[in-house]
Amino acid sequence: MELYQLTAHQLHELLAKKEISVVDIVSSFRDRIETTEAELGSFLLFRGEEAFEQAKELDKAIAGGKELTPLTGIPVGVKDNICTKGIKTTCASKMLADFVPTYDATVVEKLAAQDSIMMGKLNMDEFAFGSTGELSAVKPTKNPWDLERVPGGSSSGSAAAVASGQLPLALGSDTGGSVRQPAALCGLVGLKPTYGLVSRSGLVPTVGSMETVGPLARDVRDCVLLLQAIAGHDPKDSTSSTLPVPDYGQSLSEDVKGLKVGVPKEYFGEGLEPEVTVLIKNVLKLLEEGGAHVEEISMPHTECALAAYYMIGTTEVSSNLARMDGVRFGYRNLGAEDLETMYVRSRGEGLGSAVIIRTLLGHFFSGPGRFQDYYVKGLKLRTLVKQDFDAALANYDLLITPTSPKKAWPLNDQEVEGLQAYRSDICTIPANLAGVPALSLPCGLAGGLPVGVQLIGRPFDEPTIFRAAYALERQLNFPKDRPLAEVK
Amino acid sequence: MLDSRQVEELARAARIELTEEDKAAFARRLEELLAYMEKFLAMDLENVEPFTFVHSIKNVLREDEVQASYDQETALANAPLEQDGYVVVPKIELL
Repeated sequence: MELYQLTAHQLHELLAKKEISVVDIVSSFRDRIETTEAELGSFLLFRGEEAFEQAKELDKAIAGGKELTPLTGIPVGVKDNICTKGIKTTCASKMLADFVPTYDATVVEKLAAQDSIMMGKLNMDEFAFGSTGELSAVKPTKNPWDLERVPGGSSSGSAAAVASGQLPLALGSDTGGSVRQPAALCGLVGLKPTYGLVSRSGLVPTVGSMETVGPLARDVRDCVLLLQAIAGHDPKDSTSSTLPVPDYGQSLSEDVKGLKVGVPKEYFGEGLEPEVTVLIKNVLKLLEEGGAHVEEISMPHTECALAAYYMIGTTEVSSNLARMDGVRFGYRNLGAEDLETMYVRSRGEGLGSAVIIRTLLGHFFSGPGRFQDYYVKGLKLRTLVKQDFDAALANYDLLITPTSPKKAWPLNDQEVEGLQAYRSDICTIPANLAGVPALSLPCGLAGGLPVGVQLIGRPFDEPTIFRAAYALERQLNFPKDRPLAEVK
Repeated sequence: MLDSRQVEELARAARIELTEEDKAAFARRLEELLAYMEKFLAMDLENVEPFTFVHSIKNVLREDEVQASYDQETALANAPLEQDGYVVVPKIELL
């Protein structure tokens, strides 16, 4: 058994027992990254040397009596739309190819405060727009379960790195499913926390009313560890909640007795692969056998979610990305002789097509004479979606749906941009509109590829999600180690 | 459907120089999305309140105290062109 095959909590135990050092841990993951990265393409920036130096320092400090946190010496990676002081943060875009933040995102500060080891910056769809990883302006990422297939997106590098044992833990961001969908396609546990639970200070903003930062891990306990480290109020993010953060480890019981589980039938419609349905039904059976009350319910406005998401989301994008103008940072066309030309060329050359299209859609939906007819209608549709969640979660502790209607599909197989691509997020988008927490848990393999089940909970009730996920994980025995052994 | 003049107007508002490919791709996406959204846009939403925020939080303000900010060098660290502590941009043509 190699150290890179272990989870963060297993590594922590060995470190606490002094059976291994931080240098041992970091060396194992560093070697793993060096042997697999050419095939996977999960990293945009790898800090092998710096991480190794940090590990040596940390071992010295531990020998000198420094206390261990649950993340001491644990390698972590961060999606490249999360700012890291002095380390390039590019959003996988030509626009920010040379951007070096002058501050750390709050989540990065929190990880550093726990003495975790920052291994590098992870690939993604440009500015987090995409569901396959193929829209990275740098390179596509491959799925460790099958290198001919997509890992999902937009947190493509985060998912591929953790699934392949390049890292035990990674952070992604989730605006419409960008943590959960790649987690599902790569056989990982991925959480979109309640809106407001985790600070977004330092996350490159695109859709402020929906985006969250969330953990990707190989098991539920590791997901809990990472969430515990990053959750909590931040004065630098005015949308962050001041509620006390619970001890999530306490919720890892195996008991689902008495849990009321709703299964919204609208999530089981057209486009769902039959094998996915079979595996989700198996999850429902396990919950029932464990003593949960499982009932089919209706959330009638589910189908409004995609339309609302695109009218609101693209409008926020067009506003947020206005700062990418080549003046104070980012790519600039240096040949332009007047300011206006500099703006239009810098943006036209620096931003990828998918980003440009979303920006223009946003200008269309919110432009003069159209604001009321589109953007405001989008907001009204969002209200209807939110009301469905309020009603369902008043009666049920948990909602169960598929995470992705499909398992990982081949690279270059379908249009990466457009309605078909947007539809692949149809099961994950509603939770972002409503701001509720949602976790993807691997629930089985279909044709050798992972399938994820989505557990949605009440706002700030991550503990109930973890409780059910942990109980299910015990019974499902998902073969999460397979790509660790197979990717060479 | 949008004519090319309207696309130009959107591109101008967005300050993006479009390639012919981008124009065509955008027109295709917009058409596709509008067709998809037709039935939602036709819904009677008269009595539905527009969504405002996920949680009920009030205005969030900090104490009005002076705090340290960036020095000039840090603030200019990422500027593509900079001189004597200023960001340099091409001349501004009045339209």
